[in-house]
Amino acid sequence: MNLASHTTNAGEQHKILIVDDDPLALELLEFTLTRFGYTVQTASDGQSALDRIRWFSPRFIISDVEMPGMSGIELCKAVRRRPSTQYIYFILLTSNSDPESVVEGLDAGADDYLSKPFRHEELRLRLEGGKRLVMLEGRDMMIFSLAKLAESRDQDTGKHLERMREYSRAIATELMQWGKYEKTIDAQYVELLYLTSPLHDIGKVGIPDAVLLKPGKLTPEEFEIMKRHTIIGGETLMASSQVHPEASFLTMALDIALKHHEKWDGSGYPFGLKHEEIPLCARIVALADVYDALTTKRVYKPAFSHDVACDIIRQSSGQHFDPEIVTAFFNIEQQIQDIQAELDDVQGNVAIVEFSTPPVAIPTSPLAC
Amino acid sequence: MRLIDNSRIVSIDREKLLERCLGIGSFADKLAHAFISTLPIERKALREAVASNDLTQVAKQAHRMRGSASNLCAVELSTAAEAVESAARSECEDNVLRLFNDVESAIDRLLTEFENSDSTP
Repeated sequence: MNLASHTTNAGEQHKILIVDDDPLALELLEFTLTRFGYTVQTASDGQSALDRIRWFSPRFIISDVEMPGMSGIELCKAVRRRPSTQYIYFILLTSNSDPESVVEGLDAGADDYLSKPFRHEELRLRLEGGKRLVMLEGRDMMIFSLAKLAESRDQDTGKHLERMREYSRAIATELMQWGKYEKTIDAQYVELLYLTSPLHDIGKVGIPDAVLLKPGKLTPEEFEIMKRHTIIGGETLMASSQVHPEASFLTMALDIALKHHEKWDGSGYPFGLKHEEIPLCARIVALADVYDALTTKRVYKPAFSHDVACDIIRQSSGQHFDPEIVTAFFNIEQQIQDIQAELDDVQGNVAIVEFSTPPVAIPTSPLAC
Repeated sequence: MRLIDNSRIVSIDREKLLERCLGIGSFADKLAHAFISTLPIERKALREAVASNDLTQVAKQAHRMRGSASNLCAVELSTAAEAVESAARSECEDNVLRLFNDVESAIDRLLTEFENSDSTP
């Protein structure tokens, strides 16, 4: 393989800081990484590395272990301690005769290690792996940040997104064990659902404050405007999906944003889809979303207890919700309660309301109250 | 002629060094010159550590020499330095003294080869 051919646009954004007290090792690594297309800076000891990080802001650090003064392992710990640098991908250079330093290094927070003298192909592949991880981390954080930004226009939603994606993942994991879903749901599907479910209401950014934040019941006209959040979210994600067709998470995010208000019996919106016309991911998110809305306090309703919420969900099985997903939900009822307890909004659930007879309608939004 | 092409230099695996330098002979030459120019300094530091029986320092200096030699594909020196490092870490003073002779020999050979490399290959 012609290694020089990897001298591509691998990354202006992929900056690497190399730390080694051996000038020859530094020069060889710098030469190689520059040829691979990275932007490289060097430091000959740990303290200089910490100073350099401040202005160079590397995405990767490759550091020797044994150095005078601060060792590579101490440097790694220092990098992990700083909030601004803790996500730097850290690779330790270790010698074959010192396997203990590998364990010590990984324990200190290093992401990977490379044996000296390094081999080009191994170096390149380990960095490629690191880049994938860095990109995934960035993507996941960006997706959740976008979802949070959209949600920030709503009032009193607290940790709704955090709980909702946990409920969705738990339900999907339960369904994965059912023979019927063997070919539909795998671990990747579950993780994609976890990743994309918080985007379900991203279209709310396009809903006017007068409608979105109205404390009372919406008029039919306002309801029509509110319903458009599914279309707005769908169109936004569709546009992104067309530009990046390789990004499978966008397809799932689109299905969820567009169709999580569809109902099993066809009475939902925006299309009135029914049964399996509604994508499975949207059916799962629909239940997770409603359960969380029921059990938390909103401007238009108090928080219902878990038991009341369960009664409502049970009554809505086959109407609002896919009956199989309702069954899956009750199979993991304890897990759902554990998630709710763990991610409880301290101020959000102050008014738990118990009903001897559950309300028939699902008061999940001002529309339904 | 380039050092990397000189058949008198046998203590360095020239083919491997060239491969490590992505096939760029001028860079391999540059590294080799840098290595040879610092070798006497590294030898002096290791000698002093051995003479003063400071095993911690011996291990450190031998480790450093091993790293440089290994990067330059100077296999004999790298192996000899590794043996000294290992003996020092195990606190085997007698072995350190004995094995250090191998390091000295390997360095002598390298320096001689480079001194002679200006003459006909």
